[in-house]
Amino acid sequence: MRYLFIVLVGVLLLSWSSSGLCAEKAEFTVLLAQNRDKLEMAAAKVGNYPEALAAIDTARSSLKKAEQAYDTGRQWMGLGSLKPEAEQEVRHNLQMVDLALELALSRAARGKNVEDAAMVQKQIEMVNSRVKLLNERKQSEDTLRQAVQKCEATTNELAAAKQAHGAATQQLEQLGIENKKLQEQLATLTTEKAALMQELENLKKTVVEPSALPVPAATGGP
Amino acid sequence: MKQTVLVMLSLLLGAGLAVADDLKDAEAKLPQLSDRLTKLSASSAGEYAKPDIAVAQASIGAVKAALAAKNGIQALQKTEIADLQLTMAEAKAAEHESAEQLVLRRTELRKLEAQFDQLLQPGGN
Repeated sequence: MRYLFIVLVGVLLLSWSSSGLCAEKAEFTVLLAQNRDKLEMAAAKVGNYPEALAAIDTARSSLKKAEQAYDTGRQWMGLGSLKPEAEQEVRHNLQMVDLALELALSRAARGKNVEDAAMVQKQIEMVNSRVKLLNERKQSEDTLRQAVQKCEATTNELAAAKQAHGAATQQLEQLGIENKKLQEQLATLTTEKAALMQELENLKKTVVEPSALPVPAATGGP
Repeated sequence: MKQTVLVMLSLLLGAGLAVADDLKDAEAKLPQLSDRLTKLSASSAGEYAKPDIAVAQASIGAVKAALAAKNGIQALQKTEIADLQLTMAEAKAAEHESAEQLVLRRTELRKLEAQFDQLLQPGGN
């Protein structure tokens, strides 16, 4: 009965310690697997930014160190629990993996921002040149509009001048006609004057004998 | 028996020397880390990556504590962590600055596009 009790206690102790060891072993195996998955996911996410890829390499080497520390740090030919210093080494390297992955993601985000900023800068330059071109066109349009306004004013002035010219020409024609009439009158008067002069000469000749003077006929002319 | 004792002693000596090397390495790296921390705190990272700098500062404190406790392995591990955390603070600051630059560029682009649209309107200046 006593032996049975001792064996039972022994079995219970063994099963308790082995379950604890298994739990610890499983914890590290799970942690390593989780970190491996996280690393692969981050590696797929960071793109081709060299600085981010360098951080991924750091994470990979830390994970490798953690795995090595886990493999070499187990007691009893790999069947027992981890040695405390190995456990510390594994936890340290897993923390390094975590940090390196965060670093990789941050560097990738920066790389993306820089890339996007360069793209936006290109768009700015393109829109800027278009705005400049449009401004230049607007300016030349304004200049042209002003020239058109001037041209319209000049056209109006020209029309007014043409009208004045027409009136002046008409006036000149009128004057020409009047001038011609006056010239004709002048010619008539000159003829009449010459006739009268002739008549006067004839009268002077007949003054010697006043009785011989002809009796002036009644004339209707001027 | 004697040989076994000798082997054990040499192993212990080797382990002791390795710990001493770790301590020396950690001691040598500590001023560089403190320098970097000071410079980072004074730069734009002091504003943009304040939490990361605080975490790195705590790790440098842990290095000092491990050195005081003559724990070479832990001191060296904490220097590695602090180094990476400082690099992280730099990266976070750079990321923040690049994000700000991007926002500025986008705002500039939006303004220009609005100006362009206005110019395209009939009679727009």
